[in-house]
Amino acid sequence: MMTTADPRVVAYLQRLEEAASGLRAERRAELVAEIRDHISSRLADLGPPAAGEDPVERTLARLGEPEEIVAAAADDAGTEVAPERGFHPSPRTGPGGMEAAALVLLLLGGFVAGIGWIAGVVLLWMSARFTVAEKLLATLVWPFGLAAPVFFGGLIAVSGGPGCPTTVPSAGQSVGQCSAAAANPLGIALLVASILAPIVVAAVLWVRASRRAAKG
Amino acid sequence: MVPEPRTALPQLRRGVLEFCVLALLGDEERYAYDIVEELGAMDGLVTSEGTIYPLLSRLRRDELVATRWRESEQGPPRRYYRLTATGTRSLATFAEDWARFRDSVDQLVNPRGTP
Repeated sequence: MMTTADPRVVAYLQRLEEAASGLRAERRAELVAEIRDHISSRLADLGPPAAGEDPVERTLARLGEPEEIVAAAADDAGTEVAPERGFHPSPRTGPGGMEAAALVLLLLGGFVAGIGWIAGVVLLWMSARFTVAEKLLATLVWPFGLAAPVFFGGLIAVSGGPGCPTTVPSAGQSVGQCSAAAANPLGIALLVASILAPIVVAAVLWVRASRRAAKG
Repeated sequence: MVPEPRTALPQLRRGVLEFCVLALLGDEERYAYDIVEELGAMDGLVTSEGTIYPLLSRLRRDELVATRWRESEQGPPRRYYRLTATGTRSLATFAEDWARFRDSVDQLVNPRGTP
Protein backbone atom coordinates (compact mmCIF):
# COMPACT_ATOMS: atom_id res chain seq x y z
CA MET A 1 0.00 0.00 0.00
CA MET A 2 1.22 3.47 -0.91
CA THR A 3 0.88 5.01 2.53
CA THR A 4 2.86 2.37 4.38
CA ALA A 5 5.77 2.64 1.92
CA ASP A 6 7.15 5.66 3.79
CA PRO A 7 10.65 4.69 4.99
CA ARG A 8 9.80 5.66 8.56
CA VAL A 9 6.80 3.33 8.48
CA VAL A 10 8.90 0.55 7.00
CA ALA A 11 11.54 1.06 9.70
CA TYR A 12 8.86 1.14 12.41
CA LEU A 13 7.30 -2.12 11.25
CA GLN A 14 10.75 -3.67 11.01
CA ARG A 15 11.46 -2.72 14.62
CA LEU A 16 8.09 -4.14 15.63
CA GLU A 17 8.85 -7.40 13.85
CA GLU A 18 12.21 -7.68 15.60
CA ALA A 19 10.83 -6.75 19.01
CA ALA A 20 8.14 -9.41 18.55
CA SER A 21 10.59 -12.19 17.76
CA GLY A 22 9.79 -13.77 21.12
CA LEU A 23 6.10 -14.18 20.26
CA ARG A 24 4.71 -17.19 18.43
CA ALA A 25 5.02 -16.77 14.66
CA GLU A 26 1.28 -16.46 14.01
CA ARG A 27 0.77 -13.93 16.79
CA ARG A 28 3.71 -11.90 15.55
CA ALA A 29 2.39 -11.91 11.97
CA GLU A 30 -1.06 -10.93 13.18
CA LEU A 31 0.25 -8.10 15.34
CA VAL A 32 2.42 -6.66 12.57
CA ALA A 33 -0.48 -6.88 10.08
CA GLU A 34 -2.83 -5.12 12.52
CA ILE A 35 -0.39 -2.29 13.17
CA ARG A 36 0.26 -1.94 9.44
CA ASP A 37 -3.50 -1.71 8.80
CA HIS A 38 -3.81 0.81 11.58
CA ILE A 39 -1.11 3.02 10.08
CA SER A 40 -2.64 2.96 6.61
CA SER A 41 -6.15 3.62 7.98
CA ARG A 42 -4.91 6.51 10.09
CA LEU A 43 -2.92 8.05 7.25
CA ALA A 44 -5.92 7.73 4.94
CA ASP A 45 -8.05 9.41 7.64
CA LEU A 46 -5.65 12.28 8.13
CA GLY A 47 -5.57 13.06 4.43
CA PRO A 48 -2.91 15.12 2.70
CA PRO A 49 -0.57 16.85 5.16
CA ALA A 50 -1.16 20.54 5.84
CA ALA A 51 1.77 22.91 6.17
CA GLY A 52 3.97 22.16 9.16
CA GLU A 53 2.23 18.83 9.83
CA ASP A 54 3.70 15.41 9.56
CA PRO A 55 0.96 12.76 9.57
CA VAL A 56 3.42 9.86 9.54
CA GLU A 57 5.28 11.10 12.58
CA ARG A 58 2.06 11.82 14.44
CA THR A 59 0.63 8.42 13.63
CA LEU A 60 3.74 6.57 14.80
CA ALA A 61 4.05 8.71 17.94
CA ARG A 62 0.48 7.91 18.94
CA LEU A 63 1.02 4.22 18.36
CA GLY A 64 3.85 4.19 20.89
CA GLU A 65 7.21 2.42 20.79
CA PRO A 66 7.18 -0.99 19.07
CA GLU A 67 8.79 -2.50 22.17
CA GLU A 68 5.95 -1.16 24.28
CA ILE A 69 3.35 -2.79 22.02
CA VAL A 70 5.18 -6.11 22.16
CA ALA A 71 5.49 -5.82 25.94
CA ALA A 72 1.70 -5.48 26.11
CA ALA A 73 1.35 -8.63 23.99
CA ALA A 74 3.86 -10.53 26.13
CA ASP A 75 2.19 -9.25 29.31
CA ASP A 76 -1.09 -10.66 28.15
CA ALA A 77 0.44 -14.06 27.61
CA GLY A 78 1.73 -13.95 31.19
CA THR A 79 -1.53 -12.89 32.81
CA GLU A 80 -3.72 -15.26 30.82
CA VAL A 81 -3.81 -17.83 33.59
CA ALA A 82 -3.66 -15.38 36.50
CA PRO A 83 -6.06 -16.58 39.21
CA GLU A 84 -7.82 -13.21 39.68
CA ARG A 85 -9.37 -13.47 36.23
CA GLY A 86 -12.04 -15.72 37.61
CA PHE A 87 -14.70 -15.32 34.97
CA HIS A 88 -13.20 -17.53 32.29
CA PRO A 89 -11.77 -21.02 32.55
CA SER A 90 -8.08 -21.59 32.24
CA PRO A 91 -7.26 -22.51 28.65
CA ARG A 92 -5.32 -25.47 29.97
CA THR A 93 -7.79 -28.28 30.64
CA GLY A 94 -5.72 -31.45 30.36
CA PRO A 95 -2.39 -32.77 31.50
CA GLY A 96 0.48 -31.58 29.38
CA GLY A 97 2.64 -33.14 26.70
CA MET A 98 5.20 -34.24 29.27
CA GLU A 99 2.64 -36.40 31.10
CA ALA A 100 1.45 -37.92 27.83
CA ALA A 101 5.02 -38.66 26.74
CA ALA A 102 5.83 -40.20 30.14
CA LEU A 103 2.87 -42.59 30.04
CA VAL A 104 3.43 -43.62 26.42
CA LEU A 105 7.13 -44.23 27.05
CA LEU A 106 6.36 -46.23 30.20
CA LEU A 107 4.08 -48.51 28.18
CA LEU A 108 5.99 -48.84 24.94
CA GLY A 109 9.47 -47.46 25.63
CA GLY A 110 10.65 -50.88 26.81
CA PHE A 111 10.61 -52.08 23.21
CA VAL A 112 13.27 -49.50 22.34
CA ALA A 113 16.12 -51.47 23.94
CA GLY A 114 14.67 -50.53 27.35
CA ILE A 115 15.99 -46.98 27.08
CA GLY A 116 12.60 -45.57 26.15
CA TRP A 117 11.14 -46.91 29.40
CA ILE A 118 13.90 -45.28 31.44
CA ALA A 119 13.18 -41.96 29.72
CA GLY A 120 9.51 -42.47 30.62
CA VAL A 121 10.44 -42.98 34.29
CA VAL A 122 12.51 -39.79 34.28
CA LEU A 123 9.63 -37.77 32.78
CA LEU A 124 7.16 -39.38 35.18
CA TRP A 125 9.16 -38.35 38.25
CA MET A 126 9.82 -34.86 36.85
CA SER A 127 6.12 -34.17 36.39
CA ALA A 128 4.37 -32.18 39.10
CA ARG A 129 0.98 -33.59 38.13
CA PHE A 130 1.30 -37.03 39.65
CA THR A 131 1.44 -37.97 43.33
CA VAL A 132 4.36 -39.98 44.70
CA ALA A 133 2.09 -43.01 45.11
CA GLU A 134 1.07 -42.80 41.48
CA LYS A 135 4.69 -42.45 40.40
CA LEU A 136 5.67 -45.52 42.41
CA LEU A 137 2.78 -47.52 41.00
CA ALA A 138 3.58 -46.57 37.42
CA THR A 139 7.27 -47.41 37.93
CA LEU A 140 6.66 -50.81 39.51
CA VAL A 141 3.86 -52.00 37.17
CA TRP A 142 5.91 -53.06 35.28
CA PRO A 143 9.55 -52.26 34.83
CA PHE A 144 9.93 -51.97 31.03
CA GLY A 145 6.16 -51.70 30.61
CA LEU A 146 4.47 -53.89 28.03
CA ALA A 147 7.84 -55.16 26.88
CA ALA A 148 8.16 -57.22 30.10
CA PRO A 149 5.10 -59.51 29.75
CA VAL A 150 5.54 -59.79 25.99
CA PHE A 151 9.17 -60.79 26.42
CA PHE A 152 8.50 -63.28 29.22
CA GLY A 153 5.37 -64.52 27.46
CA GLY A 154 7.52 -65.25 24.45
CA LEU A 155 10.08 -67.08 26.58
CA ILE A 156 7.43 -69.26 28.14
CA ALA A 157 5.97 -70.04 24.75
CA VAL A 158 9.39 -70.95 23.34
CA SER A 159 10.24 -73.10 26.32
CA GLY A 160 6.96 -74.94 25.79
CA GLY A 161 8.83 -77.29 23.43
CA PRO A 162 8.89 -77.96 19.70
CA GLY A 163 5.64 -77.34 17.86
CA CYS A 164 4.52 -74.62 20.19
CA PRO A 165 3.86 -71.25 18.59
CA THR A 166 6.36 -68.58 19.59
CA THR A 167 3.54 -66.10 20.06
CA VAL A 168 0.83 -66.20 22.66
CA PRO A 169 -1.95 -68.55 21.56
CA SER A 170 -5.31 -66.84 21.22
CA ALA A 171 -8.49 -68.26 22.70
CA GLY A 172 -9.81 -69.96 19.61
CA GLN A 173 -6.52 -71.49 18.52
CA SER A 174 -5.75 -75.12 19.13
CA VAL A 175 -3.00 -75.40 21.72
CA GLY A 176 -3.18 -79.18 22.04
CA GLN A 177 0.49 -79.94 21.43
CA CYS A 178 1.70 -77.42 23.90
CA SER A 179 2.10 -78.79 27.35
CA ALA A 180 3.93 -75.90 29.07
CA ALA A 181 2.76 -72.73 30.73
CA ALA A 182 1.70 -71.06 27.49
CA ALA A 183 -0.99 -73.67 26.96
CA ASN A 184 -2.14 -73.63 30.55
CA PRO A 185 -5.30 -71.48 30.87
CA LEU A 186 -4.01 -70.09 34.15
CA GLY A 187 -0.73 -69.12 32.47
CA ILE A 188 -2.61 -67.37 29.68
CA ALA A 189 -4.81 -65.53 32.15
CA LEU A 190 -1.73 -64.37 34.08
CA LEU A 191 -0.10 -63.25 30.87
CA VAL A 192 -3.18 -61.28 29.76
CA ALA A 193 -3.47 -59.72 33.23
CA SER A 194 0.17 -58.74 33.21
CA ILE A 195 -0.31 -57.08 29.82
CA LEU A 196 -3.47 -55.27 30.93
CA ALA A 197 -2.04 -54.08 34.27
CA PRO A 198 0.33 -51.40 32.93
CA ILE A 199 -2.32 -50.21 30.46
CA VAL A 200 -4.83 -49.79 33.28
CA VAL A 201 -2.26 -48.04 35.47
CA ALA A 202 -1.40 -45.59 32.66
CA ALA A 203 -5.09 -44.90 31.97
CA VAL A 204 -5.83 -44.28 35.66
CA LEU A 205 -2.88 -41.88 35.99
CA TRP A 206 -4.00 -39.98 32.89
CA VAL A 207 -7.56 -39.62 34.14
CA ARG A 208 -6.47 -38.49 37.60
CA ALA A 209 -3.99 -35.95 36.20
CA SER A 210 -6.73 -34.65 33.88
CA ARG A 211 -9.17 -34.19 36.75
CA ARG A 212 -6.55 -32.37 38.78
CA ALA A 213 -5.75 -30.08 35.84
CA ALA A 214 -9.44 -29.28 35.31
CA LYS A 215 -9.86 -28.29 38.96
CA GLY A 216 -6.72 -26.22 39.31
CA MET B 1 17.22 13.32 46.16
CA VAL B 2 13.51 13.83 46.59
CA PRO B 3 11.55 10.78 45.50
CA GLU B 4 9.04 11.17 42.68
CA PRO B 5 5.41 11.56 43.70
CA ARG B 6 3.46 8.43 42.91
CA THR B 7 0.82 8.00 40.27
CA ALA B 8 -1.70 5.20 40.07
CA LEU B 9 -2.60 5.93 36.48
CA PRO B 10 -0.65 3.12 34.74
CA GLN B 11 -2.12 0.47 37.05
CA LEU B 12 -5.59 1.95 36.80
CA ARG B 13 -5.39 1.87 33.00
CA ARG B 14 -4.15 -1.66 33.06
CA GLY B 15 -7.03 -2.85 35.18
CA VAL B 16 -9.79 -0.91 33.51
CA LEU B 17 -8.93 -0.60 29.84
CA GLU B 18 -10.23 -3.99 28.75
CA PHE B 19 -13.63 -3.16 30.24
CA CYS B 20 -13.61 0.17 28.43
CA VAL B 21 -13.11 -1.81 25.22
CA LEU B 22 -16.04 -4.07 26.14
CA ALA B 23 -18.16 -1.02 26.96
CA LEU B 24 -17.25 0.57 23.66
CA LEU B 25 -18.50 -2.49 21.83
CA GLY B 26 -21.83 -2.45 23.64
CA ASP B 27 -24.22 -4.05 21.22
CA GLU B 28 -22.43 -2.76 18.16
CA GLU B 29 -20.03 -4.54 15.87
CA ARG B 30 -16.89 -2.49 15.28
CA TYR B 31 -13.55 -2.91 13.67
CA ALA B 32 -10.27 -2.55 15.52
CA TYR B 33 -9.14 0.76 14.08
CA ASP B 34 -12.45 2.35 15.02
CA ILE B 35 -12.14 1.08 18.61
CA VAL B 36 -8.55 2.29 18.92
CA GLU B 37 -9.47 5.65 17.42
CA GLU B 38 -12.25 6.27 19.90
CA LEU B 39 -10.31 5.09 22.97
CA GLY B 40 -7.27 7.10 21.88
CA ALA B 41 -9.38 10.25 21.68
CA MET B 42 -10.44 9.98 25.34
CA ASP B 43 -8.41 11.84 27.91
CA GLY B 44 -5.99 9.77 29.93
CA LEU B 45 -7.22 6.34 28.91
CA VAL B 46 -4.56 5.28 26.42
CA THR B 47 -0.98 6.41 26.11
CA SER B 48 0.10 4.13 23.28
CA GLU B 49 -2.63 3.24 20.83
CA GLY B 50 -0.64 0.27 19.54
CA THR B 51 -1.03 -1.57 22.85
CA ILE B 52 -4.78 -1.93 22.29
CA TYR B 53 -4.23 -4.49 19.53
CA PRO B 54 -2.69 -7.10 21.84
CA LEU B 55 -5.48 -6.34 24.30
CA LEU B 56 -8.10 -7.04 21.62
CA SER B 57 -6.47 -10.30 20.66
CA ARG B 58 -6.40 -11.38 24.29
CA LEU B 59 -10.11 -10.58 24.70
CA ARG B 60 -10.68 -12.69 21.61
CA ARG B 61 -8.68 -15.63 22.97
CA ASP B 62 -10.52 -15.35 26.28
CA GLU B 63 -13.79 -15.40 24.32
CA LEU B 64 -15.07 -12.13 25.74
CA VAL B 65 -15.34 -10.86 22.18
CA ALA B 66 -15.92 -12.68 18.91
CA THR B 67 -14.76 -11.54 15.50
CA ARG B 68 -15.58 -11.97 11.87
CA TRP B 69 -14.07 -10.68 8.68
CA ARG B 70 -16.08 -8.27 6.57
CA GLU B 71 -15.41 -6.79 3.19
CA SER B 72 -14.68 -3.08 3.19
CA GLU B 73 -15.14 -0.56 0.40
CA GLN B 74 -11.69 0.89 0.84
CA GLY B 75 -8.86 -1.62 1.14
CA PRO B 76 -8.62 -5.18 2.46
CA PRO B 77 -11.30 -7.02 4.52
CA ARG B 78 -11.54 -5.93 8.13
CA ARG B 79 -11.95 -7.88 11.30
CA TYR B 80 -15.06 -6.82 13.20
CA TYR B 81 -15.41 -7.32 16.95
CA ARG B 82 -18.55 -7.89 18.97
CA LEU B 83 -19.31 -8.91 22.57
CA THR B 84 -19.98 -12.54 23.40
CA ALA B 85 -22.44 -13.56 26.12
CA THR B 86 -19.49 -13.91 28.51
CA GLY B 87 -18.26 -10.47 27.46
CA THR B 88 -21.66 -8.95 28.13
CA ARG B 89 -21.83 -10.55 31.58
CA SER B 90 -18.28 -9.45 32.39
CA LEU B 91 -19.13 -5.91 31.42
CA ALA B 92 -22.28 -5.92 33.58
CA THR B 93 -20.30 -7.21 36.57
CA PHE B 94 -17.63 -4.61 36.01
CA ALA B 95 -20.20 -1.81 35.82
CA GLU B 96 -21.45 -2.76 39.30
CA ASP B 97 -17.98 -3.30 40.73
CA TRP B 98 -16.82 -0.01 39.32
CA ALA B 99 -19.71 1.97 40.77
CA ARG B 100 -19.06 0.58 44.25
CA PHE B 101 -15.32 0.99 43.94
CA ARG B 102 -15.58 4.56 42.64
CA ASP B 103 -18.00 5.58 45.41
CA SER B 104 -15.78 4.15 48.12
CA VAL B 105 -12.66 5.82 46.77
CA ASP B 106 -14.53 9.11 46.33
CA GLN B 107 -15.67 9.01 49.94
CA LEU B 108 -12.08 8.85 51.07
CA VAL B 109 -10.36 11.01 48.51
CA ASN B 110 -13.02 13.68 47.84
CA PRO B 111 -15.11 13.71 51.00
CA ARG B 112 -16.81 16.97 50.00
CA GLY B 113 -17.87 15.61 46.66
CA THR B 114 -15.83 17.94 44.47
CA PRO B 115 -12.30 17.34 43.32
